[in-house]
Amino acid sequence: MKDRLLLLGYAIAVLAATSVHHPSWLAAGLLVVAALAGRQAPTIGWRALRAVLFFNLVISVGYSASALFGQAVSVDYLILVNIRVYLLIFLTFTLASRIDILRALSFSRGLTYLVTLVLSQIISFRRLFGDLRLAAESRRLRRLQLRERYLQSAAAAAHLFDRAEHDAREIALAMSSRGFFQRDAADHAQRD
Amino acid sequence: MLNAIEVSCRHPDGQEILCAVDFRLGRGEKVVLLGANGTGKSTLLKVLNGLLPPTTGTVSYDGRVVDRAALREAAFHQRFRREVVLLFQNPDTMLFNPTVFDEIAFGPRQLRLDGVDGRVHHWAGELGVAPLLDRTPFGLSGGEKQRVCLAALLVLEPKFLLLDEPTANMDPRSTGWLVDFLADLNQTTLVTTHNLSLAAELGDRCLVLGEDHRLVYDGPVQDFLSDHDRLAAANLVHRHRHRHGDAERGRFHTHDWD
Repeated sequence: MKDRLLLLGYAIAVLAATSVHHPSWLAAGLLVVAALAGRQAPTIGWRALRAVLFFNLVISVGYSASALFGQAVSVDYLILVNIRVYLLIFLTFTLASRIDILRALSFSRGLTYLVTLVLSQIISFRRLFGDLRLAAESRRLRRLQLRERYLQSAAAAAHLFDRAEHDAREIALAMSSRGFFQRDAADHAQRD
Repeated sequence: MLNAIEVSCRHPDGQEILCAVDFRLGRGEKVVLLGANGTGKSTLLKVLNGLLPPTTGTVSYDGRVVDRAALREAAFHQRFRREVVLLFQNPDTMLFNPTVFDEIAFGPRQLRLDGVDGRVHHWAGELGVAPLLDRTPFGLSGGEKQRVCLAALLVLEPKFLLLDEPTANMDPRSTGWLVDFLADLNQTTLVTTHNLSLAAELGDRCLVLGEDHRLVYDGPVQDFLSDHDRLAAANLVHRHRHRHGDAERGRFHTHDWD
């Protein structure tokens, strides 16, 4: 029950964070979330910062650059966007550290299946990503140029994409072979 | 010499991966690393290649401890990465260049070696991938990818080759070819496998990781392969019922080794 309430609270908080358009209210929300995160707040805050840094930088620089073309630029808006994105990510990371997502979604068998599949894929991809990183490091004999790093990253992304596509097809086939996509079977599972 | 000195590794969650593993690899040795699934074979190779730091213990290369500080030194980093190379179990993780040629040339170009073209063609020929030089590595079969990865490592003329299940993606013909190829190499090789039929062909000495993640054997391959109690303890042979006509019996055995 606690997990479902947390999930419901999260959904409401996301709605609120996207409906409020005043930076100071969002900043207050950020303080509340930091308080909820408790002793983990600095760790989660840092992780959230690293997660949004690139995205926020690109958006902020792009928006500021539009001033060069005569567009009116609002500093308030820039602050608002940055705080909002950071707040949402902070909130999500805080929730992820406190909730058992499978228990929270146990009211829906379909959602539970979906989250189980997603979690298993995350674990397998995390391992694959680690291997890609180590293999690149193992073959690096000197500091690589930007172009070489891009090549490596692009190849890794292509491999991960291919793998995701292949795995999705295999999983769908495996589920199909177990009758998952047959309407009767799904209904039966729902009734169970 | 490449040494593992009392190397232990743990997951951040405390789960043990390697426990006090201790051995030395001398120049020119052919060594097989055996162990059931999950005993830490792949992790051990990554630790020996300086990619994963051991939780306790050390890896040393020619008397120098291989740790982050040592690998931050450009000269040692370059020498170590050139002389001790690792073939990953999944060749896809190692391939990131647009063509097979670029893939093999990746190392020599980093070192700015002379005659990159000649080196690439030589090793592509040795590994039987010369006709594939213009192809993209991702379009190749598993066995072809494995050969390209090997060529990309051997072109550096390393002294120690760490090979993680090199036959895993190969058909029987390619496997036979690889076994002969590795036997003819002058380099020190440490090859992981759980295919006992290949163990005796891949090395004279064998290291065995037990299910408790400790090194349970370090000695001649043949002695280990003829010790059924040790094979069973390391979970490298299994037992199930065999039916021969009306007779039925169970004994420890493996299906890939006579």
